[in-house]
Amino acid sequence: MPPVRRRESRDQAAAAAVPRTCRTTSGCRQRGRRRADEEIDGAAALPDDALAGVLSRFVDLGDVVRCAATCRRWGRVVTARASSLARALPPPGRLLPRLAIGVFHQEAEDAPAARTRGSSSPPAMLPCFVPMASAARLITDDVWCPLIRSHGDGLLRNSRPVASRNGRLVLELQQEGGHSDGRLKLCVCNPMSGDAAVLPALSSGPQKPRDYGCALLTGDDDDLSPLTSFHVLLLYNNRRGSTALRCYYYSSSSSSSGGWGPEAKCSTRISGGKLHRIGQAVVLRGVAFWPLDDGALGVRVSAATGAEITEMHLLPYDVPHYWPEARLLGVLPDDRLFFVYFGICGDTLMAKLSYFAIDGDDVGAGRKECSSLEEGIRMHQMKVTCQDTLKLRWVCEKSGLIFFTLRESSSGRSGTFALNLHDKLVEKVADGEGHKWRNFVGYEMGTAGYLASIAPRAC
Amino acid sequence: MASAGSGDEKAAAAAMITLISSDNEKFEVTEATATLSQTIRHMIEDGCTDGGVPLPNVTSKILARVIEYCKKHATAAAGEEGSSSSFSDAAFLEVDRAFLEELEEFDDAFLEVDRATLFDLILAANYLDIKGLLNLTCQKVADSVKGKTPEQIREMYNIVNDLTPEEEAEIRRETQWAFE
Repeated sequence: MPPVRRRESRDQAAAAAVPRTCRTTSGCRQRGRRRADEEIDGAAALPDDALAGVLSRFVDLGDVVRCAATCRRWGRVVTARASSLARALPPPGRLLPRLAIGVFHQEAEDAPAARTRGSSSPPAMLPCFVPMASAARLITDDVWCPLIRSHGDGLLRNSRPVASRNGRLVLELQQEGGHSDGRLKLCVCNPMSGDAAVLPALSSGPQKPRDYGCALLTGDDDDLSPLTSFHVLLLYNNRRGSTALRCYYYSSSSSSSGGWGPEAKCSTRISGGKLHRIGQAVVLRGVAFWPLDDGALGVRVSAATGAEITEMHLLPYDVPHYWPEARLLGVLPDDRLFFVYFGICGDTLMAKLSYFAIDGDDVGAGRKECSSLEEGIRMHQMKVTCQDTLKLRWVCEKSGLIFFTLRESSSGRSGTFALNLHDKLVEKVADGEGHKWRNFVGYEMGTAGYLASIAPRAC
Repeated sequence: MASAGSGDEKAAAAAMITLISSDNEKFEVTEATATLSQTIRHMIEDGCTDGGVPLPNVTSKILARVIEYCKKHATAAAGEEGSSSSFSDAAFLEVDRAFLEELEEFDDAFLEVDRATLFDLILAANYLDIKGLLNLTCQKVADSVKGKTPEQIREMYNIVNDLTPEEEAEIRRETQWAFE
């Protein structure tokens, strides 16, 4: 009978507990000599595997990072196990500006035409990359080297960046032979590792392949391993002139096949001009958001597998914001969606953030808070006048950077800047004509990439 | 394993396994205790435990402690299965709760060891593939390091700082946020 058995087992346990204390004390005496050796390097007794076992028990990224800074071997173990450590950790719950690597941009506005204009074909244009000062040590070589090594340079020729998230970049690829057949060809890649997945060309897609919004959805924070699954969501005007959405689902497992899902009609009509400059989509808990004139368009795709669009809502602003290049959406580590625009306060540039009130996962009832609740961030380093041209470009959600470009009419202090939401300081990313850059995409690592990068290279 | 009635337990009690430590000490344990180790479970399944299981990576001192842990947790597992069968009234739930508390106390007391023993236990748990013990011991080390600076961790575990001043400055720059 169970009650009897239980009593027996407790007796056994009590019996076992008595000799335990005796053994511990005698054991310590016997092992005196060996312990003296370990005084030299106590942690040497813990081989890499076991050390990794300890590191994977942390729930705070900071603890892993501080361990990586203790000695070469611990740093090496964190580098080598970055993927599994990143997967074991919960989201960091704070902004990590060190995750930002830089920005991509591509000037070739209409690459196929440019190639046929001259008698000799112009040199292939790869998208340009501008690293952050803090990430320069990570990009010792050309940023495209890993991708060119694994896929050749044909893949990248005249491609243009359209989206990025968690260390992954979405590129629109050049048509084969330089001729546009009106089919949109995309590729999701990781420039740091050289992995790339080319999506099948979309024939019944956007009316003009250049005018569409693109969102990359992946729950994966391990940016070092090849992607196991992701969704790419497109917002475009179809050939019948109505605004539509379409989703691509990719899975590396053979059991579920990926592919383009059916086209869904968008609840809001967006003009071609606005679509051309729709810019970045941010992703919050599996919903992609684009900033439109009257609100943020939230689009949810099927959660696990498949490529259906399951939900679509316009989360209204309290006042309209008409200029695509003067507005951005972003998300914060505490799962808040925010709207940001810039203003001038006296002679100082100011960022104005307001948040969306969303009740849990119920996107349908979400709306932006009243503008009177705006949070203002005064950028004391940035003295501007209203003649200057300002463009909001990209929000890196994990590093909390808002990229913007500025053309100063008088002083010529033009350039590309990043406002750091963590310390509210502005960093100049590049001098010069950033305001002319097209296809501007900010790029940041995931947690795994960061963990793999912190130990000095020589270790 | 799934339907471990009292009959099964008798059979398990009858089947004894001999474990041999690196210093050649022999330990007789029940199969139920031994199979908390996945490594030994696979050996039993493969039928290669006759004449004892040599464990060249585990000293008798550590093996004795590991067996102590496995005995306690094997009976705990048997107890849980027993309680989930037919007795579910409040009195038995109370007994169950008390038993889990006791198990927790046992784990806490079990971890009251010096650092060298704790590391040896991790190695043994890793080698013998005992999930619960590995979790328990690794968590103990992780908890001891939690919130500590690299200097404090080095001091605690006698780690020699072999980073050059330049490297240390570099890693400090990369990780500054974690010290704020």
